[in-house]
Amino acid sequence: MKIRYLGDSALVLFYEGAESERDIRQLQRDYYSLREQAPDGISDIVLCYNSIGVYYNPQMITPDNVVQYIRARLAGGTKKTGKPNIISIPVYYGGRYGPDLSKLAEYLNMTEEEIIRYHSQKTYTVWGIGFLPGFPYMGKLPPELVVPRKTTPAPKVAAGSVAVAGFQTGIYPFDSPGGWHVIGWTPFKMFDLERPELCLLKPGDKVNFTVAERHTI
Amino acid sequence: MPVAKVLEPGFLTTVQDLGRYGYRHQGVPVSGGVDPWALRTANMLVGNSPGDAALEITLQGPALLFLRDCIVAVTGADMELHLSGHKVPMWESFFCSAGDILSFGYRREGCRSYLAISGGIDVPVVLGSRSTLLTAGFGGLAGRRLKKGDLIKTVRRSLEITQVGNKLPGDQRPVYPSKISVKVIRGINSDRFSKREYAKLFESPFEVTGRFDRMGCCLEGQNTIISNSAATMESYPVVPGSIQVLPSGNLIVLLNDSQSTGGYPQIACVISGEVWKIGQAVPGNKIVFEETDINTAHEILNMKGKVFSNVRKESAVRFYKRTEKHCYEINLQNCPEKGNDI
Repeated sequence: MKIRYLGDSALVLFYEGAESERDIRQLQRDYYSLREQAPDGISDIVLCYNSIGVYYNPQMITPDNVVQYIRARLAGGTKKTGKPNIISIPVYYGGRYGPDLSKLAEYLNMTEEEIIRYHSQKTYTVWGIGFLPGFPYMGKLPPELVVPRKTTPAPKVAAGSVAVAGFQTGIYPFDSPGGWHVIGWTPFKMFDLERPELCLLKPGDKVNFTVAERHTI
Repeated sequence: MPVAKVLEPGFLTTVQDLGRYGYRHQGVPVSGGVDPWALRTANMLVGNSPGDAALEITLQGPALLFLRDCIVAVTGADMELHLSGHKVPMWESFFCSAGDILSFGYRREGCRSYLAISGGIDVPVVLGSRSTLLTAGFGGLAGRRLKKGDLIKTVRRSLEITQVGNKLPGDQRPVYPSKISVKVIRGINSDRFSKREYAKLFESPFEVTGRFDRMGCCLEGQNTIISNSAATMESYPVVPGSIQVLPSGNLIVLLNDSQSTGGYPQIACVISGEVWKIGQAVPGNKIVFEETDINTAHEILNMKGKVFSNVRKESAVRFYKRTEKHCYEINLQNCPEKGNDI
């Protein structure tokens, strides 16, 4: 593991080469372990696909002390997390709910139904939350569905949009510009200030997409 | 009773404090004033805590009608201020009485001004902060920018007349030149650039483009910088100040409302004591990057805190302002119309 300065108020732990399910579980365990007893002066700890960001206030703690905390905490071994939550998310695919599905089908040389089948067949792992409050980065997509992001982001993607880019899939919690290909929509709220748990999903959760019938709404 | 009513909202005016910490793992940006030093100073001038909520005013100022007496200070981008038709100075606290109208005229330099009101602006605290997050529609005044007819309230009813006439000494005020020198630390993804491409960051200035908001500021260089990593790079943590290289070869410097993770390679990062310089840049300004190390970055941050807390009281030109109820003595220096009785 390498540690690098992210500006003068954060450090990033790189887990390069972390690819397997096992590596990713270890990364998640380290993340939860670091969160547990963070000293004053460390304000945020953020999990990404193969890295962890540790944010600190340089007027309260030195980067050396942050590194010391990280090393000590991770050297102690991290305890196993419980069984992951499995969340089923209903998705209305295609049509006005998934405006990019037909173009994507053309690009991938598949039918829309094949894309829907590939996307809804797999169980995904939540790697991290970012981009917008509650936006889950999930993967891995089946290799058949891997596409680069749009070259020009769409000016408005609707809240609830289920989208794919690279080897990841995600759900837009708010209306926003977006560069991912929108293939469907879910009525589930990804972020809600009224809930005790603001985000529907957290790192380590498992997610299934189920095909919802269009005539039900 | 509200302290003021918004007659004109200006180009983009939002309620901001020093930000929302502890929620980045849920994708919630820190938000807060893009120029936190100017925001803190405005608060200190009117006798507030440095972290009270204030108005962040972008490019073009609002017009406010005061509904009760209060003390106000405006800092940051240099704009022409008028209180009921009379010029009033920036970086200095002044008294506003019920019925006064504060309006903003021509912007001379800088991008964002901060207006603090004695007692601190009151909006509901969301996740520990009063800052507006426009992208998610929460915080501040109903999660949105100010609009005509909005009423502004304060947390406390505070009117300590001794706080009128506080000022930040002229030699300690920041300047907002059109050519801006900004210190950076090597980025977490700098290994995705050849030595040649990395060096381009420091060789010539970058121009601020029209694509700038609270999330980030896009810059264009004479030469584009090309990374040797794939377009679909995995996301990494970012901070306000992270300099990402876009596939086009142009740069984006992230600011306070940026996401907590980003997928474009980060070539460098603006030190936290100087992110405000990017926040005060307007389209057409030139930015020159200079590499520094972490110790220098922390020294600059500490020094900045000291300079900006050096608010002091200076008596100079005096004039009186009579309201129905009170007769106050007010200090106003740097007032172009000296000794002008209202």
